[in-house]
Amino acid sequence: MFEARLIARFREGDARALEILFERHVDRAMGLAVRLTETREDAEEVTQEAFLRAFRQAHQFRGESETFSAWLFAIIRNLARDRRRQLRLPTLSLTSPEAERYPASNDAAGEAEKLMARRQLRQALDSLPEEWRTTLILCDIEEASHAEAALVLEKSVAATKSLLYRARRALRDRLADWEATS
Amino acid sequence: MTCEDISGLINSYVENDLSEETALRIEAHLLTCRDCAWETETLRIVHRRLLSERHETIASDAFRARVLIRLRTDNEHLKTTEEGERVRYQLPMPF
Ligand SMILES: [Zn+2]
Repeated sequence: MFEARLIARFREGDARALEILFERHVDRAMGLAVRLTETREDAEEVTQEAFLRAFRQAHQFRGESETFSAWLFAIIRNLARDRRRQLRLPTLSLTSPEAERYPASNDAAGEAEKLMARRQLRQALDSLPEEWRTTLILCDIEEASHAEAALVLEKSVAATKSLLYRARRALRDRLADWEATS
Repeated sequence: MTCEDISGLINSYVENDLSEETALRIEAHLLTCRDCAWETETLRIVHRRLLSERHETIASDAFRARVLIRLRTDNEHLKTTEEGERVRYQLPMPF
C-alpha cells in the first residue's frame, strides 16, 4: 500500500515522504479538528500535535489494515476529547468562525433562516454523547467511510453502522423536539 | 416489501447506496405506509442537514509551514531533501 511505503521511507530518513503524507492529510485533519474543538487556535494546536504524535509512533502504523487518515483521526479525536475534559466544556464548534461569515447573500431572511438551522443542528449535536457526535461528524460531515470511522471509533464496521444509525435517529428526535416546542 | 425489510434498508436508502431496483421497491412500500414514509423522510432530512455542513477546511500556508518545521526538528533522523536524493539516486544501492 502506498501510504505504508511512505511511512517506511519516512522511517528510513526520507524527509520528502513526511512532506507528502503531511500534504495529503493536513486539510482533512484540520477539518475534523475544527469540528471537535472550540476555536481555530485549538484546532491548529490539536492538528499539529496529532501529526507530531503520528510520526513519533510511525513504527506502530499497520499499513494493510488501516489508513493514515483513520490513524490521524483517532489521535485527533483523543486530543480533542482530553482538551474538552480539561476545559470542562461540553462542546464542539460546528460553525467555525469563517463559516459564520459565510457568503452573505441579498436574501437576508433566507440567510437568517439558514443560520438558525445551523445553530440548531450544532446544539442538537452538542447534546448527544461524544461517541454519537463523533460518529456523525466523521461519517456524515467529513465523509469518512464506514471502515475508516470504525478504526477511529475502535469498533467493528457493523457496530459503527449501528452507532451511526442510532445517532441519526437521536439527532432527528432532538431536532424534532425543538421544532415542536418552538 | 414489509416494514421490517424497510427498516433494514432505510439507512442505505437515505445514503443513496442502493441499486435503483431496490430503491424503487422501497418507494413502492413508502407510498402505501405512512410510518415507514415518515421514518425515511425525517432521516433523510437529518442526513441532508449534516451533509450541508460539509465545507472544506483549508489549513493556512502559515500553519502548514510552521508544522512542517516542527515535524522536521522533531524527527532528527530525517536527511535534508537533497541528502535524501543523493542517497537514493546516486549511491549504488547496498543490495
Ligand atoms: Zn412500512
